[in-house]
Amino acid sequence: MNQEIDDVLKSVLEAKARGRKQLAALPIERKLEILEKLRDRSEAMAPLRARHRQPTQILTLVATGAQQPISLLAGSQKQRVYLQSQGRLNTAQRSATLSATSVQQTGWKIVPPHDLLGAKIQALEQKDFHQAL
Amino acid sequence: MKATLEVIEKMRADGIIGNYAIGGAVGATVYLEPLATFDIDIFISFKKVQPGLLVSLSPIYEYLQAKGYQSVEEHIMIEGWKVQFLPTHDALLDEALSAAVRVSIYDAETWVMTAEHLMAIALKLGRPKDYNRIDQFISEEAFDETYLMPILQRHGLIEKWNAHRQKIL
Repeated sequence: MNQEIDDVLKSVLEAKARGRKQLAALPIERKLEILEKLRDRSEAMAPLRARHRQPTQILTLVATGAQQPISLLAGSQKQRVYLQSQGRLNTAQRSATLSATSVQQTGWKIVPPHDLLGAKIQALEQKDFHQAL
Repeated sequence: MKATLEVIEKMRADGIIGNYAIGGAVGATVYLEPLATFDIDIFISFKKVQPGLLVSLSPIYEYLQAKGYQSVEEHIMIEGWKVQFLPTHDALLDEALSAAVRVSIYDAETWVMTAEHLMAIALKLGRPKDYNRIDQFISEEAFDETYLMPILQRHGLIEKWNAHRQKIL
């Protein structure tokens, strides 16, 4: 019985690997069409997923004098920034993604760019949140 | 996506951005099976524009908004695709940008990070989805180990690589 299960599992994994290789070998244009379909399907499922997700705060860094959102060189590829707040910070808040949502709605303190320069950013890059905050 | 890539290439031609490279899932899709993603990650260097730790994306936003493209959260919607412009901020990303390869997609010329740099970046980020991507590169034999290893060495990622290989073997 165990051998039978092993054989089925092996053939399923081999078939999957073959399928992946076939997909990888497609012309790039065809692959991007598939990627686009995957994205559309995923976006269609988004409301369903959102129902199971914990609410998270999204905020924008509205830096003084800035006309547009600003990208900060924090410790990740993505445009993430760690801001000061009036109270305690949880993990989600510390790594809130910059977005177009008004910072006022979140109750966050607006941090002018000069506060985010120099030592603070360096501390952030070293992931030393406490020092940075 | 063709129209999106053409807009980005035009931005380079117009001097709004310098050299750029597609990374993330779209970049990886050049080498692997299609990967699910919501956006296109475009890595750019701001070094010539504005040195320092704080980087403004204003020129990009202004250029694109003048052409009718709107920002959506941290993205800009260009011809139906959410595009995120990400400044390179460490030596690995700088190198990945310099080593990007020219790829023709739908007859549009664009630049994509090498498979090996995409793997090194994924290894450095180290989120579950990054490790999944590394495993795909490995299982699909879609990389050149002789090119990858020096990259990992240069950027102090050998130990992490060995630990991961040990886990999956």
